[in-house]
Amino acid sequence: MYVESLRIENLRSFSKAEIGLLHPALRRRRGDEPLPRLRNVNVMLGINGSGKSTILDATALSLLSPLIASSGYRPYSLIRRSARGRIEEAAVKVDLALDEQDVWPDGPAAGKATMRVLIVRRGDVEFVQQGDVGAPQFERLFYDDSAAFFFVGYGATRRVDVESTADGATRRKLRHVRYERVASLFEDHFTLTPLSAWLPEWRHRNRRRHDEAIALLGALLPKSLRFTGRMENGEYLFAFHSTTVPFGALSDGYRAYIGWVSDLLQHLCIAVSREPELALQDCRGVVMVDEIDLHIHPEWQRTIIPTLARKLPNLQFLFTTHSPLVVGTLERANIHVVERRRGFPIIRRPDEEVFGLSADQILRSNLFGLDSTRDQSFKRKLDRLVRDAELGDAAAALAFMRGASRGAAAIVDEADAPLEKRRAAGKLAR
Amino acid sequence: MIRYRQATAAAIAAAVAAHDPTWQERARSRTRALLAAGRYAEKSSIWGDVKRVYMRLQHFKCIFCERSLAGEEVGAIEQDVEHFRPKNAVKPWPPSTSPVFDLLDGRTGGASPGYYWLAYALTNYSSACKPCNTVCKSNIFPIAGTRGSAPHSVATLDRAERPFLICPYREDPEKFISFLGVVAVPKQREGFGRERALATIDVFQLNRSDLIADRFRTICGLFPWLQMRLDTPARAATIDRTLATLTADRMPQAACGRAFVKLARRRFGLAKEIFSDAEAYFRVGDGA
Ligand SMILES: [Zn+2]
Repeated sequence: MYVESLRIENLRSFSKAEIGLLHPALRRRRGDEPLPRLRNVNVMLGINGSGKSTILDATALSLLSPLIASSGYRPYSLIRRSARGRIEEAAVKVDLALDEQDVWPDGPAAGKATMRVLIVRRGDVEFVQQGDVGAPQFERLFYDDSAAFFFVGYGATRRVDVESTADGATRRKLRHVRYERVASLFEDHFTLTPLSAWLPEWRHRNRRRHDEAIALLGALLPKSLRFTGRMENGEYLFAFHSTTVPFGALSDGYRAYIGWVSDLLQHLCIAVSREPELALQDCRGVVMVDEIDLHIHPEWQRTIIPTLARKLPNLQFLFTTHSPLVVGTLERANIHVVERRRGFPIIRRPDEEVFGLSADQILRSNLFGLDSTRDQSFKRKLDRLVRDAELGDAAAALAFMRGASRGAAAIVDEADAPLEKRRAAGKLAR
Repeated sequence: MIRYRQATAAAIAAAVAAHDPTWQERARSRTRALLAAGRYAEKSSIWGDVKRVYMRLQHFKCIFCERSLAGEEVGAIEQDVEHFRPKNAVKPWPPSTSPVFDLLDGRTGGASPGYYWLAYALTNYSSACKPCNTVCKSNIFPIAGTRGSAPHSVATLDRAERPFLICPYREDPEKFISFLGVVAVPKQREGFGRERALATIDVFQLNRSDLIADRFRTICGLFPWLQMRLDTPARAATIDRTLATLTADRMPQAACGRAFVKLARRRFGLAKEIFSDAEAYFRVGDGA
């Protein structure tokens, strides 16, 4: 299954938005625009608070919709708040491309399908209305160990609980496996299962999948890091340059990445366990990762997406990022810019090609727009700060930068900053 | 502003000769005519023919504001051959609205008929963007010494006139102008050096909004590397090479970038604050 397009109405800060997505089964794009090199990658580029994560949440919600009432998901603050009156409903619709992985061999044919989810408000409570449970095309969605309708999602607060001992069965009491796969998008404190809590067991449960998972993990790691497959005190060891370190001792960036990648591998193993003809890396489905650049150093940011896209060519990826380095590895067709206009998020395509540009060039491009409209009195205030800065007042230079970047509110109290702060700043000018 | 060290008078002359072998002879004959006339009054000019030489020497950046301009193919349209000493009448400076009016007025040389005999002097040229050349500098050339006259050479004039404006082809602007974050400030605490910086910053409006934005972008590009350098000391040498590339002469806003790297070495916390300003600067929509 792949998502072809998504339509959002009154969800969180979005009023209305529609987005078309690339996926591996796509053979041509609207208007015969050329397909990019990476056909399975969609990136939402925007600053924090732009609304880009909502696109992932909306996708997950609508894909869950047929079983959402029994999934363990609890809606909270989904319907848009408006100063102009109460809004009672939010809606999301996804158009899907199904394939033979999603339907029974003797059931209804694969093809296009649509899922809808409606969120309604009653008093202070929001309810998610169950989607179309009866559609025969969705039958396999209701089976746990199935490769049908495979989708996973990782929120920006994703983390791995190294201490976790909770086995699959205990976890499933709280959340349906399909919701568990996207729970970190919605729950800040949700923890992912560490590699050490599931992989060893698969050696006996299904040796082939165990070995495939190890090989795939190796292929997905950055060059500087190697998975040893050995364990020590309950943790897997990784070779980092010439030393060997347990998972828990790796830097934030590596842990954040290995955390979600190994969770993905676990769910791939579960999904394909009854599909002997399907190799692990060939499984189809949707993978959503919020802030793919999270804690990841600049050099690695330039390879992370192409590596994932090539090693897992049948998965459709939806990433969000605010890093210009990440988007420099992509083409215009892969990128959606999410930005706010008059307080509302809007989604647009970049006007120009960005592939191969340096971070600096991308920052200069119109992907990162610049709003220079400022009111006159504020402009005069900034001018005065610059003048004071030129004449040697370093505190004024700092106040100018704060004001120029954050607006009028940021420099109100700066004029009477404490003397010691101004003195400290004074030493910096030279 | 940065110095273009390789672009000595001899190097410029050689580049012009290679670009257009007849130009210097044509220039000499025009200069003779101008000296005979005693003023600049030509119907057509030939300095446009050597504009590319300066564009290349300056890595297609404006000599004054270090903005990156269009390249070889179409760049000529957005930059001018700038006459450091104006060929036409020199306007008095500073205007009474200038922040340095009280400090400098009466000591800047006043008006003059202009340096017509330098209309074709290669050492009097550079390539500047239209905002810097046409809007900002126009026919301004304030000096602290006495105004020279024909047919004195640029070198002689520099000694006698003591210009306020800093010339990147002959001296190092980074000795005079530094940057605190994105703001251009005088480097020297007092004296003529400080006054020159103030005059140069004021004339070229070196803290105008397009340049502030340009410098914030520079800082956005540098800071992640500075953070990485701090986090992974083992890789400092490689990262330093990257930082050197990112602040090399050919990069836009190189002087600001270099000052920022230096600041981060001394006061990482402050550099980080400035980076967060830079990031905030590019957030679109609400607030600023
Ligand atoms: Zn300029």
